[in-house]
Parts: sequence; structure tokens; C-alpha cells
Amino acid sequence: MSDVNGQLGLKENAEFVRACQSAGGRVGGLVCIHTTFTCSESFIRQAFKLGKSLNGLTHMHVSVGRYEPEHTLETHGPRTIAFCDSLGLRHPKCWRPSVSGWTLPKWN
Amino acid sequence: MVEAPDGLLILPDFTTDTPGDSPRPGWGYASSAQRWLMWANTPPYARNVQTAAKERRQAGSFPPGLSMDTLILYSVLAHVIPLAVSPSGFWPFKESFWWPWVEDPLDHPMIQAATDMQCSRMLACGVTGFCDILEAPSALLGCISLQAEVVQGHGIRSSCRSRLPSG
Repeated sequence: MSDVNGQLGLKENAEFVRACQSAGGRVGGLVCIHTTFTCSESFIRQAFKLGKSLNGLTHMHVSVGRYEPEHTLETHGPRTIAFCDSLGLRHPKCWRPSVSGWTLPKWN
Repeated sequence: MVEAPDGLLILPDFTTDTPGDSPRPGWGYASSAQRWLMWANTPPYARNVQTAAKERRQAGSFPPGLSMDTLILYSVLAHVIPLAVSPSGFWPFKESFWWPWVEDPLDHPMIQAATDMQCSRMLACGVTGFCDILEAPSALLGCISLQAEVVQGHGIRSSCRSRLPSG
């Protein structure tokens, strides 16, 4: 995967959302960023900002399996939910329907 | 004047009534004369709650109709791939099966065919709306528009989005 493909995806998302809004039918578009372990911090911020500018929701998975909580803890420091909060993703325009794994407390 | 419900009253924590809008806390649905009304815990709605024949309060959110909130339309293509050994673990699943066998070989005709089949299946079992995720590290451009054309042909309500690769 590449930065170029990521930016092309954002562009395609935006064009699709606008086209759906203009058409006003039963099909709508959202921006989606997958997870915190497949997108960089700057890319997540960029995508969420784009989603808000389109007056739509931005979708993401949170705490996928055991992998994401462990990855977030090791890579960013806070656990997944706290990391998402630090990026401003606890927001009515961020849709996180599938929290699929546990973010276990860190025992000392 | 608020119409009084005479049947089932459903009051979840949140209700989603308009695609794309945020869920509404404190709102639900009530049946009245064979139709459904938006309902709330607050006046002027709440004072008529006693007229409901049956009240159900439930935790969580309540979407209109039967909806699938996370679907990968082309995932149906994975159902016929024989495996000698099942991958175990998150990355083995992605690296030895999902990417090489499902996502990397995708092309536009396969996307269209899978979308057509999934929409038919959903309508046959009463699903009236869905949210699709089009994913893949090497996702083909142009797929969500193709999917949208097929979905529009079925008349089913949907939100399509591209799950973006790393940037």
C-alpha cells in the first residue's frame, strides 16, 4: 500500500460522497479509514477532517481483535480508545459501530 | 397535537431515523393505527405513553428496518475457495488467504457480480439497508461507483465507503 493510493482513495471517497449527495437517492457515501493500525496518525486526521467537511460520517473499526489494542499500546502509548480520543475521533461525525476486541487494562 | 400510540412503544437509548444523521438520544418508535410514529421520552410525547398497549425499553440503538451496519459485499467470493489448511491468527488470515485469494484478484466485473448477488440475498431475507466497506491495500479505483449502480438497480438503501489504505 502506498501514500499515493491512500490519497487517491480519499479523493474517490470525496467525489463519491458529493455525487451521492447531489443525486439524493438511496445510496450514500462515507469516508472510511479502516483502523488505527493501517492508517497513519496524519492520514486519520486528514480523512476525518475531509469527512466533516463533506458533512458526513467517517467510519472506522475500533479495537480489532487482540491485535489493535496491543499494537496501539506498543506504538502510540495509550490504548485504542484513548488514542482515538486524542485524535478527536470521539465526535458525533465519527461512526464506530464495530468495536470488536477488548482493550484490557494495563496491570502494574 | 401528538397522535397517541395504541400498540407497541419501543424506547431504546438512541434511535437513528435519517441516514447520515447522528443517532437521537431519548427517541424511539410507537405504533399507531397501523403506522409507526417517531416517539420521545420528553413532552409532548411522554404524556401519552400510558396509552401504549405494550412498552419495551431496551438498551442500545434502534435503526429503522433491518439493516446491516458492516458488510463487505465482495466477501461472498471467499465462500467457494478451498483451503488445505485454515490460517490461524489475524495476520496469517490476511497474508495467506484474504489478500492473495480474495482481494488481490478482484476486478470490476467480480465486484459487480458480488454486489448483485448480495443485494438479492439481502432483499430475499428482508434487509432494507446496509453499509458496505470496500477494502484492500491494493483497492481498485472506481469500485464504489460500480457498486452504487448495482445497488440503485435493486432499490435497496445503502452507504458505500472505501476503506482507505495507509497514507
